[in-house]
Amino acid sequence: MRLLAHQGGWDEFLLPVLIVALVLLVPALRHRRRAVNDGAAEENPRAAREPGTCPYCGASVPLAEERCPACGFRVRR
Amino acid sequence: MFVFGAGTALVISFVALASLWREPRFEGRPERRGRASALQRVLTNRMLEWTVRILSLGFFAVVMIASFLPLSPTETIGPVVVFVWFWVGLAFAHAFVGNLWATLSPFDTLGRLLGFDESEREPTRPYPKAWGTWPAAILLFGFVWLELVDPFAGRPGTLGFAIAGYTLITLGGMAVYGRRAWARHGEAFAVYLGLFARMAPLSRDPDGLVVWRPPLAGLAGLEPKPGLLALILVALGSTTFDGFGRSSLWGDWTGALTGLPETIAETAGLLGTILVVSGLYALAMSVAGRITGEGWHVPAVRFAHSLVPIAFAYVVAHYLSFLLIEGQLGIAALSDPFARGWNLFGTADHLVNLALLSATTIWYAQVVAIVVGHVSGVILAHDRAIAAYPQDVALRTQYALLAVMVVFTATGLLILSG
Repeated sequence: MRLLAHQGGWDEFLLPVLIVALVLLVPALRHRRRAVNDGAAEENPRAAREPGTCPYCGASVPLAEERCPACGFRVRR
Repeated sequence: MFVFGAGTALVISFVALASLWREPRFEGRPERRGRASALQRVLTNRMLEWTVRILSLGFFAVVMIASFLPLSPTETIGPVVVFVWFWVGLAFAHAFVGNLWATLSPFDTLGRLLGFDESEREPTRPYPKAWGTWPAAILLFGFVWLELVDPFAGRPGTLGFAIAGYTLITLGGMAVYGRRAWARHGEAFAVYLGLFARMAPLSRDPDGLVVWRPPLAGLAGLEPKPGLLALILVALGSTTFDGFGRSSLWGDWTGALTGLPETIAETAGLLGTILVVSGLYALAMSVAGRITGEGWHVPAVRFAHSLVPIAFAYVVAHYLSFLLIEGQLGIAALSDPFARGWNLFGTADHLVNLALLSATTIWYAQVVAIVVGHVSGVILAHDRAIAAYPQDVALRTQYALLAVMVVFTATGLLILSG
């Protein structure tokens, strides 16, 4: 109760930090348990993306192009 | 207590989104078409549009001439219209009503009148895609530098030269690259206000008819462009510096400086604040990028739109009282724009009502703006994440961004309170 009654101190951050930590930790643990149980490799969205598509806008980028012709971002060096 | 409450509100909304918002609602949303009606005919009337354009252009000419006069900022109409009505007032209007600048912009009207429209003549050069909105980001930085650092405070009339210079750059850009291309990439205020307009519940369909849409939904349709993230971070960082620059801490550091050292310190402060805000965002995105295997830049661009409501929230929080109190100076100045003793509309003796907003009302409005802005950012980022990634990956990309948003919220409120 003393913690909640206090105003203006650094301890005001404790509860949000605790909640953020829980939100971070619980799905990570669940994910690891599921991966171990299923023996499945972790999903990698990058691998799922079609080669030759712009990661920024999804347009098709010809192999010779350094920049995406649709959005202008550099996609190859 | 407010910091604690705001941070908690953000975390709770994140948890609620994770469990209740499982399908994208903004991403890939089909574009609505307007229905013809009497009201639509008025809103799309060309004669009415051009009347508004010409009036706006005339008002712009008055403001520019007044801004050349070597008088104090409160004596002529120039500074109050540029820094309060235009910079703050139009940001509010765009976020709630939609893209008014498309019609009000004197630069757009001049570009049309001078024949720089792509439909009338081919641009001299195609606009380089790689530039994206970098010209707009650089010009926006120039404007906020002029506003916040105020390097020419001792030389009234400089604002007129700044407006004239910006007009020449804009018309030059339109002449070379075409009116539409420059408005989309190089006209700083068109790009900046256009971002806020995407938050509005009103939009236009491809035929120009006015349509309703859910608030914030327009931001999901924001196309990725080089320099757009930089422009958003300039907007976000500059407003943060405006608050920080008024804090006692900044006063202790730079209070004794005058002249060039003061200008250098404030320029460094402005740049430093933009860099700190950018660094925090980049840090969150590098964590997200490690999860998705994309590096930091792709997610940074992908989630850039989620920063727009936060940038608007900072405008509301920092400038609401500025708009409603200092903005009243413009009512008197309207009747006497050049400080010649005129009383054109009978408002020259209008006195500023300082009691329009109490300190308590302002503080609550600031807290609500900061919390709603950040929760909106969390919603937009979540909606995009679940559209772009598998669900468990999507959630994990958002943790670091949530942490940064909690930090932004806490810092924003601490700056406002101190």
